[in-house]
Amino acid sequence: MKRYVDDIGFGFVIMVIGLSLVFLVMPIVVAVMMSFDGRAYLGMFPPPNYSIQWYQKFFSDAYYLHGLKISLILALIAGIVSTASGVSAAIVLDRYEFRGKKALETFFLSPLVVPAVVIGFALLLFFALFGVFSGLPRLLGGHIIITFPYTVRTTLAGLVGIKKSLTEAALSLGANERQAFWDITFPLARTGMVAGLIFAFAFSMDDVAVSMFLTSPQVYTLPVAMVSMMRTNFDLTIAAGAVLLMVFTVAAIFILDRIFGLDRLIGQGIFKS
Amino acid sequence: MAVLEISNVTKRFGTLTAVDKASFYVDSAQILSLLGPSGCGKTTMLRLISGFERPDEGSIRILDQDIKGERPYERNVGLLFQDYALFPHMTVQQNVAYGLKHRGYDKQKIPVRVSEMLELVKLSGLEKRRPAQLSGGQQQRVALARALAISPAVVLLDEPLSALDAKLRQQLRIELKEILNSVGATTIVVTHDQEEAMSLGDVVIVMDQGKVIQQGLPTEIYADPKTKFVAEFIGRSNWFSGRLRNLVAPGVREFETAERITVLVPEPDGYGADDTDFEICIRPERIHIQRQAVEAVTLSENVSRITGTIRDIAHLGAEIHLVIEIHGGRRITATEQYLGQTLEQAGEEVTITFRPEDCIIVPAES
Amino acid sequence: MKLSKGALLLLIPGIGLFLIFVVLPIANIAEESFRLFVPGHIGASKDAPYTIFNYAELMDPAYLFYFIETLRLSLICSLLGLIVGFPTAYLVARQRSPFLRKLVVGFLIGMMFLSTMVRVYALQITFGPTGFDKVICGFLHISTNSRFYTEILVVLGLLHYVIPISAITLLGTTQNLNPRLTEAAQVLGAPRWKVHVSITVPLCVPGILSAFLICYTFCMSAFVVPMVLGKGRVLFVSNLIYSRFSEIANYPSGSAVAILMLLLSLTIIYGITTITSRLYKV
Repeated sequence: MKRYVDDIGFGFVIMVIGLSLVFLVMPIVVAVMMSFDGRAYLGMFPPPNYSIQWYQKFFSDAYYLHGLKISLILALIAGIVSTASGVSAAIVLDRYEFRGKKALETFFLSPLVVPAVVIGFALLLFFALFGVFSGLPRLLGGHIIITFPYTVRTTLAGLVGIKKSLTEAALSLGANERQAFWDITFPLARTGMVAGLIFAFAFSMDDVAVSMFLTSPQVYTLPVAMVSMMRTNFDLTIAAGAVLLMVFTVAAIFILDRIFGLDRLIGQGIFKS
Repeated sequence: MAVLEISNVTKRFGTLTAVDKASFYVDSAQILSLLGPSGCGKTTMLRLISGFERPDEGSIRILDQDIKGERPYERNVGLLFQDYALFPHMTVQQNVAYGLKHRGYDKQKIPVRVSEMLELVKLSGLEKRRPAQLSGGQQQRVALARALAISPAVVLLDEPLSALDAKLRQQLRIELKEILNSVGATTIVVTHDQEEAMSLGDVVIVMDQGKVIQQGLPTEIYADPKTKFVAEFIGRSNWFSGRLRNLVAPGVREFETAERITVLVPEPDGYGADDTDFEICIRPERIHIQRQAVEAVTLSENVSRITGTIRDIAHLGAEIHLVIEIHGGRRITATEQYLGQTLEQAGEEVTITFRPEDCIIVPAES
Repeated sequence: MKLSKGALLLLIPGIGLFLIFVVLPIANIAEESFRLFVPGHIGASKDAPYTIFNYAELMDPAYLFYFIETLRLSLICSLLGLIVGFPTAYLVARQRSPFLRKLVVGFLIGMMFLSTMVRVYALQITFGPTGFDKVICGFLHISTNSRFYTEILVVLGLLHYVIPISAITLLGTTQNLNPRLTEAAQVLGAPRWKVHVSITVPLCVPGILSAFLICYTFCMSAFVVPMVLGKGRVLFVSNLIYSRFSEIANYPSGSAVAILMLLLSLTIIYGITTITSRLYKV
């Protein structure tokens, strides 16, 4: 009968979604629990007793701390530069009409579709041409580029919601374009811009693919440090570092929700291509 | 024979009782209008009948079978949505055929049936069009054809005319009734529009706050409302509260209003003591206007007469709406047909008259 | 408004950044890919002749294998991601309680934002020797060292990002679906599964294709996941580029792979986008 097939089908779908949920969450839970493992070695899950030894090891390990420092500096600088230029570009893309606008927009969003490895590799060779072998400028360049599309996209999404008539009203009342921007557009678009900054920060902290090509023995990011450790000395200090990165993520989400509202984030189609 | 029987159906959403012990029935080939303001429970009733909600209490029977446990796709009900809900990615043909396909209609016979239905709604030839290419009125007809194609036991129409402009509404109202009658469809029309309810329905049910307040023929509901709510919801009214006094003729009593005016009203059925509070309602079109002022308020030949001054007059084409101020500052609305007469002027002294049978009397609500 | 001088000024930072960090570098590796690699040197020598040797070399089955592996596993992963993501997006869109909706959406965004590092490490711990690998392999009757299990791990690693991103992307599409349509179909006699097959999915195809594109391009360019979870046996094209660079400084070959990969990505994007707009001309 119709309803039985219906119920079975529905049950099956729920089961699949449920399993996927477990799949998504379980590794996180396992990693967090293991990061508090009391054993001095990497043993089977679950841990028999708990301690914070791995966190202590992490924060006393100069190798990781150096990486963390570099990551934070990069994220901050790249985030700011990327947001500033991304916002400027978004303003122009939103307010003006000109030939090739669509092409320019696609151009600015292209780092999303160019494989990160290609970007990293290309930047490496390019910098080498000019004899630049130091890690920091290379990494900065890479991080700015890969975060730029996010700042443009979120700012654009925020700007799209602002009625053009508000700017026109300001202009008709005597303000020039610059004043109209700072008085009217900027305050209203602020949330989109801040969201873009947070995105940029988060993706910069996370990046491995581009960074792996651009690091040097003196200048490296935390994720790159962790990846190399994973291939050589796979221990639970990495777990502590991973949980730390997770805390950053959760904090970023919280802040995004506070200022922007998660529903609006989705409703404005920010994640659509 | 009742095709649809609703008995003591109650539906609650949390603390809100959307439908409260509602009972009514619809006879075969009858059109029933379910009328009420938003939130009165009529939409919930629609969803209960079509199967998208389950009643907490009571029973719903179609063709003498309790359908409470059945899912929407197991019931034999047709539904015309307010926004038509035509499948945008399908042609008119595929839309109308959808129900036939999924109810196991003989595949060979489906195209014939579809043409039959399109002919019925006067849209033959538009089989290959998509909904986006049709006008609002055409979309509605396709939705109707789709709902009727499966010959459901009951057809439910959700605010069928509300999305159309006034002119189209009148035209489609007549056609809709013709179509429904020609296929002998047992229909429930759900609406908040009193005109739609009265013009489409053979029988009208007024609902408020989940309860069925009154069921009857359109004229009954209009001329003989059982409560103030029904009287107010249908048509316009002038209200006076007050008390019944002495009998002046068989079935006619004096009624003293709160403004200390005495008028003649019919004695309500089963009337007992003298002092019960009542409210009377006089429809604007029942008020007759005499252009000379007569002395004061008089009651002769069983007609109430009240003097007053015209405060506002609006010529609305076929009707004239007047606002008249009477004794005590009280204002009354009256309506006249425009038959080419010279119109009254604002400020003019007039006498309004009405007979006892022009007054509707209902118990005062506490 | 037409472009003013001020507006052009605002575009300069963005365009400048892109010229320096995208256009020129890619043009550079494009050029490099046509040069001959001399072993022992770093990259090509300055006055090496132009050749298509690097590209010809890639036609060798050993290299083609990388491309096929990448495309194959990316396809499997994207399809699985859609199969899970679409019903999830649908259920969230139909959810009546705003609190629950916000909770699920917040969870999905969190999953999306999660650092790749964390994912890869967590999966390694959970499905590796310290975790459930024996349980799962026992269930599937395969060896924990088998290539098949490694492939499963890589796909799982990719799915960990693909599922949230496809659900989030599809949320917009499912939210735009008129719920009355599914109700209309049900009243006409179609049980829910038939309704979804004949109404819901066909109406969401553009969104589904868009989500597929996002998932597929992500999977194709994956680097960390195959690198760590692939244990050196399951390798994607991006890992090939990296090995060209880190193991032997064969920059010309690495450049050729990179350019090929870029062209492949762009072709797929262009192809699917064109199909979508062609299909939905109405």
